[in-house]
Amino acid sequence: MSEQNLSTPSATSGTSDLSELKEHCAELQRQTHSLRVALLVVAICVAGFLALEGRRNGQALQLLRPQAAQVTEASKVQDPIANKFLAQLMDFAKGHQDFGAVLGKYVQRAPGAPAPTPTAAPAVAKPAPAAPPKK
Amino acid sequence: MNWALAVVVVLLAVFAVQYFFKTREVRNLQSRIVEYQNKQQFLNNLIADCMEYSKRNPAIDPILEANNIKPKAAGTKPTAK
Repeated sequence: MSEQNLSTPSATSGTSDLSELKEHCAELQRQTHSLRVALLVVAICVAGFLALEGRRNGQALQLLRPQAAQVTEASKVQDPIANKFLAQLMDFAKGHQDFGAVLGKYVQRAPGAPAPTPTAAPAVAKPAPAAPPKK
Repeated sequence: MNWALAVVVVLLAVFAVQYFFKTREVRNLQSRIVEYQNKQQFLNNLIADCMEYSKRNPAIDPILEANNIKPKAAGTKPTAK
């Protein structure tokens, strides 16, 4: 009788613990499942966004590639002419100071042009004189 | 569910890589085109200033004419040096 009295409460508490654990486990499984579904939905959305953007970039590339090729070809033709023109203008500016001022807007060191940044160069070139740092 | 997740993650990686490389190429091409346009603008401004200067000092005309910027004046003879 006394053994029955002692063993019965522990058995009932064990079964209740077990059922409680099963409930916890089921709840966790439900949460895990819902989180997986949410992760799947988010991943599908991100993948869709990236696919869409990649497709748009692909369409933009189809337009840009011929333009870039044209620009490259035009640069190959124009650059030597432009450089020659600039060299001629710089030669011309050597004998014409007033044109040096005009050319100084475009070329950094046009002959005869006023110095574009008179204060910037010395500040970079010459560091501050060695003075003992104050502490 | 796991398989679906794995497939979506693989697709995500593929699309991300495609997006990265295509975006980079678009930016490179756009910057090249913009650089060319800036260069054209620079030359146009320079030519405009040269044309304006040539009104005050025609000595620059031979350079402009040699580069087909200014049409050669009809009936004028080149000055002998």
